[in-house]
Amino acid sequence: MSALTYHYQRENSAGTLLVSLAVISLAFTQVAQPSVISQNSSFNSCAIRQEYGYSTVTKQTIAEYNSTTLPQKEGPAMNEKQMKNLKKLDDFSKYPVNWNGYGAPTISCDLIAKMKGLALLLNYQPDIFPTARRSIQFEYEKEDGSYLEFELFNDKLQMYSINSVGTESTSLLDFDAKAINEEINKFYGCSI
Amino acid sequence: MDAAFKDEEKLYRALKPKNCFWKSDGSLTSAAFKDSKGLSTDRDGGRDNKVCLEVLNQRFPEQDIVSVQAKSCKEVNACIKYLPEEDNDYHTEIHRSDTEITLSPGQAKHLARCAKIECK
Repeated sequence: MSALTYHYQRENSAGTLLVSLAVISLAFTQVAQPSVISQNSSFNSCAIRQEYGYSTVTKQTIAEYNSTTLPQKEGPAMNEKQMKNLKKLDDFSKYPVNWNGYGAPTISCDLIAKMKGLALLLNYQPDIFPTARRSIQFEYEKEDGSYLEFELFNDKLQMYSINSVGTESTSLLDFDAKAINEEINKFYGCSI
Repeated sequence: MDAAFKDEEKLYRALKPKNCFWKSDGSLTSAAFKDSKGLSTDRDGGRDNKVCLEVLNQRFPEQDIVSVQAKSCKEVNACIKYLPEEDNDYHTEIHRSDTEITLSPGQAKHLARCAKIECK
């Protein structure tokens, strides 16, 4: 079967926006599982690679694509913001008790490890911050005022959003990269 | 000092570690206002802005300092509690409500958007 996957990756100049499109062509009656594709969206190594200006076009079979391991810490697919975020998370692990001068507790290594794993799977790299309530927050904001925030605790993940007209929404999510990426994709108005 | 807060009264908060709470677009994250013990601040209590900053700078040397007005807290129904301490007459905490301590994500976001950078 000659199914091909074309995987496009494009980043803006600030390296903050990553757009991933998976276009599957030819005689497949069942498309590749979106969940698998979305989790590999920052994958960049390729069988055949061509450069088209700022875009990279990769051709692979779906089987090759989905069997590929996720980018490792030092892998080629790491972009600048992803590296910065991992570094930032490493820094959080060094914060002592009272790191904010107001008596903040330390941030647990388990939580940091969880967040680092998640950072590798996110389609768009967020801004990441510690809080003084044993959580790590990652967030996205657009110029129109819309906003998406996830706050990761040891035992829960809380999502909070504001749309462009100011309507707020809060909910609890499962700690699942696919579900989180779906919310982020929705926020940026794209589907994978 | 009066336990009531006029709308324009400022509440100061130091941001430590330095540069930790600024987003890539230069704005302040709401994470800076999330504290399980209640958001400690120093009220201006009628002092000049300069004096307030000098005092806070002594406790938090070289750190960023932001302020929010009492009005911004009231807009999201956050509860401002004047809780003077032995070594700080101006200590004030911002709580989610009269009975809950930690600010909601919406309250924290509102304060982050309204916050004024005093010293960076």
